[in-house]
Amino acid sequence: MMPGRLLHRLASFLIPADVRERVLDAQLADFQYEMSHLSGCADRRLALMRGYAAYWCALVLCVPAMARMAVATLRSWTLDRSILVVGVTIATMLLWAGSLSWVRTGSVQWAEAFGAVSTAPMWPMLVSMLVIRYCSRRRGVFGRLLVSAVAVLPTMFLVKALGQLRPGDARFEPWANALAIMMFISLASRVDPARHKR
Amino acid sequence: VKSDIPRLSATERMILDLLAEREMFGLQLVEESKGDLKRGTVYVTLGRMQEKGYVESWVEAQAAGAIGLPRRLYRPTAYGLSVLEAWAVAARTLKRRPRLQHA
Repeated sequence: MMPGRLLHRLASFLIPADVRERVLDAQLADFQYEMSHLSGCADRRLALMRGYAAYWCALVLCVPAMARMAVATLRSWTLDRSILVVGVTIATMLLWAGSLSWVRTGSVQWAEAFGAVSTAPMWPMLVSMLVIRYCSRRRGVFGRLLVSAVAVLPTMFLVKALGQLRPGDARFEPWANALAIMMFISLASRVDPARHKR
Repeated sequence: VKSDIPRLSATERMILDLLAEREMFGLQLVEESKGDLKRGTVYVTLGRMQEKGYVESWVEAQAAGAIGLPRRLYRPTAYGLSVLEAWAVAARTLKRRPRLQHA
């Protein structure tokens, strides 16, 4: 099997297309070419290690480019899109906090929402971002909101049921938030601004 | 103060120097530089140089039935070569500057 296929898939999910094609795909293509032209077991092992190390190094170095693109994309967002994303984020946080307090105490305590904004992992919000992106063909704010809500609620309960990434779990929180922020940047930067211009 | 003068880092200069001889793949650049260019950073640098307009790249045509991703070839643009030339001239000029005599 050709090495780097999984990494290529990972990059196509995380990294904007033009950065991926210019940087990561070029690196992977050379890596695959090198691997296919080596015959010795030791040489192949060495090339494999060097190739993977180089790939992860390049991936990390792509983060500023991703951030630049995300900022450029966010600037081009229309007002209704911005309102939609902010609204879905706040609604998700409130639902997240409310449902948690309901599980613990049997009553909804909305005051917990303020704490949740700063501490909760942003997975449900990311799901909504993903849904908004892939359902952007659906016209109208309410249509997108409805689709997002339908997608977010099961995700919230699934994440909570797994009991792994819940607010207050110090082991997972920093990693979850860091990954969530990376995914947010990635998702935001993958939106084609021309498609949303009115 | 942000100037409009194009910047050229030492790595970018080295890459342009190598590409001025012939078009190359990223991995070839690493090999030709004899360790001065690193695998993990050369593609990011090439991507940045492409954004600046110093190099251009295209994907190599793959033979039928070939597996793996197509490789990307790089060559300098006319603008990139003129920036390299301007930096070379500047470096030569600044080298010729006489030393200050201390009393």
